[in-house]
Amino acid sequence: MIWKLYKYRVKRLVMDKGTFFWLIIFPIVLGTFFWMAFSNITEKSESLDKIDVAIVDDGTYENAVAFDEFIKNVSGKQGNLNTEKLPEDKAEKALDEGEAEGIIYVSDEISLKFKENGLNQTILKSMVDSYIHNENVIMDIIANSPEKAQDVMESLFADVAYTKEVNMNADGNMDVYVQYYFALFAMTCMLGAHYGVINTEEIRAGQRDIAVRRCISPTKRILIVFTDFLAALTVQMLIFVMVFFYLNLFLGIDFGNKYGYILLSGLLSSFVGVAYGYMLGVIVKAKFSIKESIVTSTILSMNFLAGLMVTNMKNLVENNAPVINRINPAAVISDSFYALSVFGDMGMYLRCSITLVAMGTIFGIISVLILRRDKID
Amino acid sequence: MSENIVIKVENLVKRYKELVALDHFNLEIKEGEVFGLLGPNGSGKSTTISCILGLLKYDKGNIEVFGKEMTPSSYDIKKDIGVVLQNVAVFEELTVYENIDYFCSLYVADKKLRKKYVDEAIEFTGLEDFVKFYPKKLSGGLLRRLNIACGIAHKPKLIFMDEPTVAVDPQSRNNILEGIKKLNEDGATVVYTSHYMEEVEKICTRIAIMDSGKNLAIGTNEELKNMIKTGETIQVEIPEFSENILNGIKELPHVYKAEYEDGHLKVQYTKGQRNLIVLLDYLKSKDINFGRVYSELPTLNDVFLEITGKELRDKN
Repeated sequence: MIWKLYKYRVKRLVMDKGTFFWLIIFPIVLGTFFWMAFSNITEKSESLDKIDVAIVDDGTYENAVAFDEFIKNVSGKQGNLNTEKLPEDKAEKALDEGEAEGIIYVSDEISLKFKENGLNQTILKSMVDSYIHNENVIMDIIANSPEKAQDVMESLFADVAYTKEVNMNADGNMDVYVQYYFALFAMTCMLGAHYGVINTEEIRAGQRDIAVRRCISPTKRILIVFTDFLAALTVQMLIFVMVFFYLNLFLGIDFGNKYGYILLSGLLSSFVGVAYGYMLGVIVKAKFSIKESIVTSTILSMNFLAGLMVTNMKNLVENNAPVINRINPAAVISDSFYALSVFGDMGMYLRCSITLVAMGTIFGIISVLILRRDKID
Repeated sequence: MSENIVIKVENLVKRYKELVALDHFNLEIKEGEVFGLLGPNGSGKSTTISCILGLLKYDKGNIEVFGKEMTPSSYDIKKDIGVVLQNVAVFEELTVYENIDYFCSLYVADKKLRKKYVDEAIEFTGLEDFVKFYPKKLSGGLLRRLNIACGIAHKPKLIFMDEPTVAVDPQSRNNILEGIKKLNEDGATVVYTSHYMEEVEKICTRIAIMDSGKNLAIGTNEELKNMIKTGETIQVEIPEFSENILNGIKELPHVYKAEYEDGHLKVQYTKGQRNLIVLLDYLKSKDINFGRVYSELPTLNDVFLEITGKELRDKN
C-alpha cells in the first residue's frame, strides 16, 4: 500500500506541470545566464592573480614610504598586482588603452580611477581601502596610545594577508564565480518548499476537498504525510540531479568528481527545502497563492543573503552578522558545496551536512506537531 | 429493515464564534436506510456530516457510528465509511483508473481484492471507456461519476453523499440516483444531503428537515406530509365568480382556505377524501361553468414552508 501511495504521489507531483516546469526551468535558465556572463568575464580577466595597475608618480611618491612598502608587498611574484610608476598623462593613456585596469593617485590622499567595473577593480579597491583603513588606525594609535603602537602594527601586519592560505586540495573548480552556482544549487533545493506546501494543502481537511477524502480514510494520517514527503523529496532530488548534470555535463562547469557526496548534499538540501515548505504550509493560515508567494519571497531572500545575486554578500553577512549564515539554510547548503568542490574540507562538509539534517528535522517536527493537532475549528 | 443504529447523534452543538451552526441537534440513522438530510444552504447539513466524520471539532454532544464513539483516529470505523463530496475531489494528474485505485488503496491493502473492487466500481459507474482519461478530459456528468467511484470503490457499509447531483444534467442525475438505490439494495446505509426535494422524495426512506442547525421534523415522506395542515390543493378555472359562492365553498367539509384570483379558484384542504367530487358537485349545483381542474398533493416544499415559513431553496 505504501508503494502505491508513494508511486501515485510522485506522479501527481511530476504531472503538476506548472510547478515541475517552473522548479526545473528557473534554475536551468539562471544557471545558463551565469555561465554566459561568467565565461565572458573570465576570458576578459585572463588571470585573477595579476592586476595591471598604473601608479602616478608626480614627484611626491617618494614621500609615501609606507604606501610604497605596501605596494612592494602586494606586487612581485607572490603578489596580486603588476604595478608600474608613470607620469599622470601616461597613466591615463595606459588606462584608456587597457594596458592598466586602474590608476592609483598618491598625493595628499590615496585615490583610485577605473575605466570600467569588474572583479579586478573590486579587488584593487578592496586592497587600497584596506591600506587606508590600517594607516588611519596606526596614526590614531600613535597619536593617542603610542606605547601600544608596536603591538597594533604587528597585529595589523599579521592580518594584512589578503588571501588566507587554505588547503585547496579539492579537485574541483577554483573559479571565484563558482559561488554563484553553489547559491543556485541552494535555491534549486530550497524551491522544493513548493512541494511541501502543496502536500500540506492536500492533507489538511480545511484546505481542499481532496484532503477531506484522504483524512476520512482509515490509513493513518502520519503514513500519508510520510509517503507524501518521500514523494516530494524524490521529485525535488530528481530536479536537483537534472539541474546539476545540465550545468556539469552540458555546460561543462567543473564541480569536481566527488559525485556521491555532491548528490548527498543535494538530497540533504532537498530535505531541508521540502521540510521548510511543510512548516510554512502548516504555520501560515492563508490562501494557497499567498503561501506560495511567501515561500518564493523567503527563499529568494535566503539566497540573496547566500550570494546568489550580489558578489561577496555572503562574506559581508559573515563579517557583520555571522549568525545569519549559520541559520540561513541557503548559506549552509552553499557552504556544503564549497567544502566539497573548492576546499576539499570534509570536516566542513560534515558540519554542513549535520546542520542541514538538524534544520530539516526541526522543520519536520514542527510540521508534524501542528498536523497532529489538526482538526478544523 | 433492521433496527440497528448506524449513526447516533445526541445534543450536538457547534458554534462558529457567535453563529450557532448546530443547536442541540439529535439524529438516529438505522442500518439499511437511505436517509435524507434536507435543508436550505447554511442549514447545517454539511456541518453535521463533518462532525460525524470527525473532521470538525464540536462544542458539545456525542456522536456514535456503528455503536462506537467517532474520533479522528477511529480507523476501524473509517474503513467502513465512504464519502461522496459535493465538489469533485480527484487528482487532476492521475487517470480515472489511477484515481479510483489510489483512493481504494487507502482502504484496501490486498492487491488482488483492490483490483477487483476498482474494476467493479468502474463498471458500477459506467466508466469502462474512460479509464485512461485524465479528469480534465471528462464531461461534468462523467466527473461526478468518477467522484462517486472514488468514494464507494472500497464497498463501504455507510456512505455519505453530500449533494452529489449539484450542477449535473438530468440524465446523469438519474444515473446517480439509480446508483444510490443500487448501493442501498446491496446493503449500504446511505446518508444523502440535498436541497433538491424531488430527489429526496424519490430515493430516501426517511427524511430529516433541518434549518438553522436544528432538526425540525423527521419521518418518512408520508409521515412528514401528514405533519402539516395542508392536504390536497384543488384549482379550478372559472371565468366569473361571486363572493357568495366562495363563502359557500369555505363551508364545505375539510376546506381550510379558499380564494379566487385571476379566473382561478384555489381551494386548500386539510385532509379528507372525495374533496374534488364534492367541490365539482357544489359548483354544478350552483350552475357555475368551469374549465380545467387541477389537483395537487402536498410536497416536501409545502412541508418545509409550513414548518419554517420559508421556501426550501431560499438561502438563509
